[in-house]
Amino acid sequence: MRKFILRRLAVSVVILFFVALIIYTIMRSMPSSFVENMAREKASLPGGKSYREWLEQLNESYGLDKGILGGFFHWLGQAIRGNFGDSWAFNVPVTQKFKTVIFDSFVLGAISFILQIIIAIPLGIKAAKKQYSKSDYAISVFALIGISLPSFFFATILKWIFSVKLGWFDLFGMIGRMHEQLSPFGKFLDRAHHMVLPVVTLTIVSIGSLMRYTRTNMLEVLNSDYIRTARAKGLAEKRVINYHAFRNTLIPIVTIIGGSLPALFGGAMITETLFQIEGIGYTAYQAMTTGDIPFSMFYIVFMAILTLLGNLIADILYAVVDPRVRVN
Amino acid sequence: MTKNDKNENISTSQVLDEEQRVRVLSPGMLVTKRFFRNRLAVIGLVILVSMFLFSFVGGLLTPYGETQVFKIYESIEKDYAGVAINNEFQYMDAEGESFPSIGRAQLVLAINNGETTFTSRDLDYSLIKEGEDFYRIVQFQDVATVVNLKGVNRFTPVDGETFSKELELVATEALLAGEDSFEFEEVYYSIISRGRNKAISRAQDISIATKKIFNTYSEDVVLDYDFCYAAEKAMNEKTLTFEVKGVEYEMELDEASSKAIFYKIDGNNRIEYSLASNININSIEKEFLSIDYREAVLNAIYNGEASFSMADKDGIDVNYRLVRNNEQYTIRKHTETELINVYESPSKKHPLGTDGNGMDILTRLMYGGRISLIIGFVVVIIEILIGVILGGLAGYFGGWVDNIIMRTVDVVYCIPSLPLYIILGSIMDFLRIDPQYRIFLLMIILALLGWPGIARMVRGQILSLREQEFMIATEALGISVRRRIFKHLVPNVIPQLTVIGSMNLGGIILTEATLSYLGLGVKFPYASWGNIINAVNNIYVMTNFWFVWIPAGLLILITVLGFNFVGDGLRDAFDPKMKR
Repeated sequence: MRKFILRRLAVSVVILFFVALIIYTIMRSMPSSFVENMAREKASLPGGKSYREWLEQLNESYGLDKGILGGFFHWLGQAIRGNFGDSWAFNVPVTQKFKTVIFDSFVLGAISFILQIIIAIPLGIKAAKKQYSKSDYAISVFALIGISLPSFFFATILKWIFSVKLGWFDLFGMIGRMHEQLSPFGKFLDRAHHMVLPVVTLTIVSIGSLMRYTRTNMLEVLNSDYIRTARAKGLAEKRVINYHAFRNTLIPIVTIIGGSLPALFGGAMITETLFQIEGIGYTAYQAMTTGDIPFSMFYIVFMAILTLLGNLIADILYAVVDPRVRVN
Repeated sequence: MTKNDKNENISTSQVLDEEQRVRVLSPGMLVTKRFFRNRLAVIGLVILVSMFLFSFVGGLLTPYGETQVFKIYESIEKDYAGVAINNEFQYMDAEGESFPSIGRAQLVLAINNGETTFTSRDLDYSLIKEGEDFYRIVQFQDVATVVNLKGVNRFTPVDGETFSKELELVATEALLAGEDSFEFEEVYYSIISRGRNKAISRAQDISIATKKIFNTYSEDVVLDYDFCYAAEKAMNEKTLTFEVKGVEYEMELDEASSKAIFYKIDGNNRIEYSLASNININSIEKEFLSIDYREAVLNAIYNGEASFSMADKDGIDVNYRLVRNNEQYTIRKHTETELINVYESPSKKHPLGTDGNGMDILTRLMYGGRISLIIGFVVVIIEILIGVILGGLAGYFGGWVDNIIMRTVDVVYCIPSLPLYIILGSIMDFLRIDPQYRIFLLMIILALLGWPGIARMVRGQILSLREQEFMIATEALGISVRRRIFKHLVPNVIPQLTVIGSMNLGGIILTEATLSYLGLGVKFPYASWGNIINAVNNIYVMTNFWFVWIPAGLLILITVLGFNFVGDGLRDAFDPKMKR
């Protein structure tokens, strides 16, 4: 087991290296107007160096003067020491910006994730219990609609109905206009109020796959021999489903929880952007569209780490939960 | 029993005919049958067929083009002409002379100071007051010097000038009377003292300055100096007829509003020739305004009316409105103006209205569907090609080939796709890539990030298939490796490929729509469902014009749903064990 984990980690590092290299290459092909603008700005300050000198100095400090490969190793050397540089778009160290925005993303992701589990697993099981029944069809169609729904369209519909027509929520933002005047509890409620639409969007859009997954697994379990045995020995149907089948259905679902690490911490870029929630997704979106290399690199590497870690955790959990699975 | 009957009996018992044969369906037929038994799959298929018809056939049938802009004509009250009471001197230069603008300033000063001469640019000018706000600007030129010897005036002409006897008589009279000017043969002479002697100077007309404005009755008449001078003079002296250059003119004077109409006498005919008033009327668009129109304006102003109507060139009555602003009036009239028909509500002509560029939304949706579906199919085909080739090689050869390919798959799989699309979209924005070229690039980018899933699936399938007996048989038969992979192994993966392909199609359409919505995918002028919804970024459009964005969103939803239904149905049909 330990050998397996170590090997997987080693492979992950190699993968991470190449992912970072590819993204760095792509980011560098963006016209670096940012550095030029900054040099021009600094050169216009009194008593400063000339534009050319500033440009050279800035290029050097960002490792932009060394060519793509040299620049990448410069970046890598700094990144390994935990120094991801200053964000160009936000003018603060990348890690500092990250610390201020990650919490909201995590809250959004976590609430939506918990809601997904609460809704999707019972519905998936219910659908599998009565295969081809009306409720099965309804749940399947609901799940597929969730998968097929473009998040930007669904968010817009929600805004249109609940913000514009009914006026229950603000169109976007995280806090209301009177936020500063509220008591601590009022502030909390205000934030929660602004989280409702994003959470609903995120939950509905990503609930479909978990629901279908649960249903497929439950069907598989219900067709297996030990369920037939349980029924044959005369157990009540309730006990067969809720005890024998349910616990076995959970095995693959537990692995999904491991795999959903990027969704928990990576931020929902589209949803955050639509509702202008200052989370990691929205911040990264702004950084990427403005060509902010340090923050984009950090975000993508962070996402890649989450993906790799998620896969690893899923595999380990699978082995832990299901003794039939042998790690090799 | 007849012979025939016997024969029939034999045939039913021994020959395999339709009734005797056990019905066996081919595997393909079985799959089809199972597929069509699935209600959701059939619904999905119907959706997809109608989407294809809508996009590809609809685009042909629609009467409008993809980027056709619709315009409407609306009547808008616009400024038509300006009216101002003229307080500035208008200058009319004599033929062959010019009165420079710097002189004009000096002239005004001289008038205000009550002087009769002024100098400008080393030239001496004199002004002769002919009437109220009516001056003649002249330059004097000496014609003769006068020497008074014991009461007798002796005239000595200046070089190049002649001084006739008649002129001498008139001049002597004037001198005796002590006047400083006289007129002879319609020429103005001035007597100037030069020390003890005097000089006779002839006035050379330079210009007239007046506050009256002369307008003509027809566009091609150009008023000359002589006419203006004579007409103005006639107005001052209230002489109703006068003659200029052998042409007789008649005048109708309206003293109350100080305007005059001049008629040209041509034989017995009286032709309307010109109108003079101190009100200046100018059309905004430098259009020629007829005298009748000007007269109507003057009457309306004089009578204090707020509006008047006039027949235009085609004889249609047009209503004009007078807007007063201190000393000035603006004449406004309703003009037909061409406007782009923006955000028109659904109507018979435009079943889903028009968008922010004045284009028909239904037509845009059809063309957008084409682009979305084409992108989906092209991307899936490229993905499957890459996935099958790499997955097939990895699965068949194993070992280091497998290792390299699968690590590549891991790397590509690990790249967060949406961020990468956004970065690449912004790069394309920076480089200002042509929209058409951009669509191709978008397809390639989407395909290059989408193939790893297919490669993994193909590899997994081939790993298990290559251990089966038929592969041993192909090896024994000495079939080449390429044929073994692509003729014997890959066809066995086709069921899974169709399932994954139809599911991916939906996903790609969704991704493309998201990117286009963010403004990073398909760009104007090309339509795509995503960039049609992009209009909701403007809150005003979202709240007021539902028909702009809801149909496009529903089309995306329904199409992706269709692909997912079909993909689900196909999977169940191919794999009856699972029963969905």
